[in-house]
Formats: sequence, structure tokens, C-alpha cells
Amino acid sequence: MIEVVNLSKKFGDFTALDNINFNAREGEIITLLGPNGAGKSTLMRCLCGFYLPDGGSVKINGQNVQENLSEILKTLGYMPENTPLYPEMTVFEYMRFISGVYKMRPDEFKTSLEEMVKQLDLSSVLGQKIATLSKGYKRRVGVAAVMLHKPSFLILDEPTEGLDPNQKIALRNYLKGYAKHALVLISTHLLEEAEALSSRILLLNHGRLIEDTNVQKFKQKAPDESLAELFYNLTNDDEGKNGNQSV
Amino acid sequence: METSLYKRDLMSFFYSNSVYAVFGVYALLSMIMTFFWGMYFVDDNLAMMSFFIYQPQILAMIIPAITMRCWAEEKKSGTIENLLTFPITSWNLVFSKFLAMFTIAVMMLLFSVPLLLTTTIYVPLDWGNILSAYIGLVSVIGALTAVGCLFSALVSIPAVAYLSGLLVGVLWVNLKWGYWVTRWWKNMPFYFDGVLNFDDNYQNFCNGQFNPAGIIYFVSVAVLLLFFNWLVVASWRTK
Repeated sequence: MIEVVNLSKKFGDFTALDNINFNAREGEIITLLGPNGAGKSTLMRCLCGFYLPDGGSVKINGQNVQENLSEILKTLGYMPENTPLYPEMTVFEYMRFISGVYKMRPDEFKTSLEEMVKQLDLSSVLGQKIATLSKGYKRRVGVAAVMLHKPSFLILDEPTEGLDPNQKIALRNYLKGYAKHALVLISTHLLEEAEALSSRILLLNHGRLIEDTNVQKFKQKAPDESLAELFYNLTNDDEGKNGNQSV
Repeated sequence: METSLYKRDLMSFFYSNSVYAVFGVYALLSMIMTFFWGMYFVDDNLAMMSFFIYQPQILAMIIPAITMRCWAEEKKSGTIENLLTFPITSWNLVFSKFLAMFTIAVMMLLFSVPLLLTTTIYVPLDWGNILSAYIGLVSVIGALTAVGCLFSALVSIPAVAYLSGLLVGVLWVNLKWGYWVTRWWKNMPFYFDGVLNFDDNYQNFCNGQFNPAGIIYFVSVAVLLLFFNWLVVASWRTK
């Protein structure tokens, strides 16, 4: 379970996250939604301990992230935006490296790799250097790498960016299945993604959490508008005046 | 140590073509210094010493080329975000990367084996001296590798990491630190003069004296710089 209490993060005078509060548990797929610069990536980085919050706390399974970082990171899989990978390695070498980092047994690695290769359709590129892969394949390799050790908490920053429609649907289906025994948190600015994938939406704007709801309730806020129009009306404000609407 | 990270960093150097350039330049410089600057063809007793005596100068130029990418490239490509969210402590990250770079740098010494074997055919060698010189050289490599790793962590551009590592390495190897410290600290006991100098510590190894103080000197420098490197990496985790 993740508990986020009064989380704030500043960069100089700029407030990237402002008093964020929410809880989430295994079995949920949560989409962080918001325009560019809303604070989605910053929130994800605070959740996985990459950023130190300026205020508030993040607890995972009751443990403060910053105080028990090494232990918590064993149960967590985080894929940053743009999926940074080592281009000189082959996909298989990279997967083996990841299995070593998480101290997976050879049989665990073999089983998990076979599953990833099947689910994410990586068999044709397993022996290929990462530098030579297309953007879509790199994204899938990134997803496979963070899921290889079967984390209980999966944090993916724009995982379907660069994937073709077939790949998007395949990944969404896999994540839906995976979320039965894990918490999946993804960020996106694609509304169709939130609608297709998530059980819950967290809408961020100007570093504030302005909606914490499910897709159906979100749509009911303005039944006559499309999701895009609703998103526009909620986030396209002056100085984030909607900021405290319904936290 | 994190074995998987050590192996990855070690192999990543051999994946790129730069390995041939770095090893080639090292071998070339070593041979030029040994045969043309040194006393290799002049004095039988100093034949192998001609190789060892110039090694710190050469290594101060070559080792930053090995270490420059170890942190700077991770920051430049964004993979540092992956590294810092792996369940690996900051110290293990620092030590694993250092050890990988150190291993590569020590591998370069294999180029001296043909020279050693050829020389032993014509000149009776004092193997005690040779062993002592190699121990000194490995200690120097450790310290210079720590210098390079630290500068790679401090900057984000590998070329800048190389130049800053080169500058500090060359200054450290060539300056008489003891002299400068005694000018600043007038009452410093005179024996510190030699203790602080790179050259004095290394020369003892080349003269065939097994020199525990020299090992302590170079290992202390390496440990101190690795500690600074750890501080830099730990600071990334608290930003």
C-alpha cells in the first residue's frame, strides 16, 4: 500500500508538487493525468525515492521511502520517462543485468524472461543491440526490464508513448492482468489511455491534485462534454485556480 | 560490491571501439618512453626500470580516458535515474564502478608482459625489484582511477571529465606536494616532505624496496577520493 501525505516538492521558487494526498493499494491501476509540467514525473520520482520531498511523506507498506530506500526499491519497478537504457548491450544482456541487480535466481530469470518475451513480443529482438531498436521496442524493453523481478509496485512514466495501436492494446491488457496482484501507477497525458486502462484517475495541475476519482465519475462531471473538453476545462486555468476544487 | 554492475561496466568498455584507441595509445606511449626516453638500451640493470619510471606520467593521461564515462555518461543518457532506483546502496554503486575501471586499467599492464619476457632473455632481472615495481604501479593505478571516477561524477560531459581528471592527475604526479605544504606550514616535521610527494612514494617501489608506507599513501588517496565520490552520489539521492 502507498500512502502519500501532504507531499510537497520545490525546485527553487517553483512549486512542482503542492500538498499531495492519496492512498493506493494492490489491485489498482492508477493513471496520473495532467498537462505537461503538471508534476506527474516529479510525483513518480518522489514515490520511488529519486527525489527527496520538501514536505510530507511517502510510505510504502508502512515504511517511509527515504528511511528504508534499499528495502523498498526491491519491491518496486520504476520506468522513467524516455526509457533510458544501455545502447551497447543486447536486449538479453540487459535483462540478465537487471536480474543480477535484483538477485534473481537463474530459474526465476528464465521463467520471467520467457513471460516478458511472450507478453511484450520481444523474441525477434532478444539478441539485438538496444541501440538498433525502434522507439517502440525500446519502450517495451524498458517495461519488460522493470517488470522482470515482479515488483508489487509498478511505476511507469508514459509507458505507451511511441507504441503502435496493437502494441498499446497488448501492453494495456498485460498491465490489467498484472494489476490483479500489484499496484500499477502510470502517467500519461492521453485521455484514451486513462479510459482504457485505469480504475482510478489522479488529475494533476500546477503541482496540485485536483481530481481523485474513477473514469465513470470523472465523465459524469460534465456528461455533455468529451473527455478532452473536460480535461481542458479542468486544467486550462489561470495560475491553477481550480487547484483546490475537489481534493 | 554489486557484481552485476561491475560486470556491466567492465563489458561496456569492451563493447565500444574506444578500447582499442585507449589500449593502443597506452602501449605506444609506454614503448616510446621505455626505448627512447628511458635507459633501456644503455644500462642493462635499468632496462625494466625504464618502463616503470615513466608509467605514472602515462597513466595520468590514459586513466581519465577509461574513467571519464563511468558516471558522466550515465547522467548524460539518463540511465542514472535507473541506477539510483535500483536496490543498490550508494557505496556499492561507487565501489562497483571504481572496481570495474580499476580492472580495465590494470589489464593494460598486460602489454608489459612481452617486454618483460623479451628483456629476461638478454638481461638477468631481479624479480624482487620487478614485483615491487608492479605492486607500486597497481597502487598508483588505484589512486588515479579514483581521481578519474570522482571527476566523472562531478561533471556531466565525458570530455570535461577527461580534461579535469587529466589536469588533477598530472599535477598530482608531478608537483612536489611536500615542498608546497612545508612552505605553507613552516613547522611541519621535515619527513612529511617525502611522505606527501607522489614521486618519492613511487620511486621506492621502482628501486626495489617493498614499501608499505607507499601502499598506505596510494590506498589512502584512493579511499579518500572514493569517499568524496560517495558523497557526490549520495547527494543525488537527497536532491
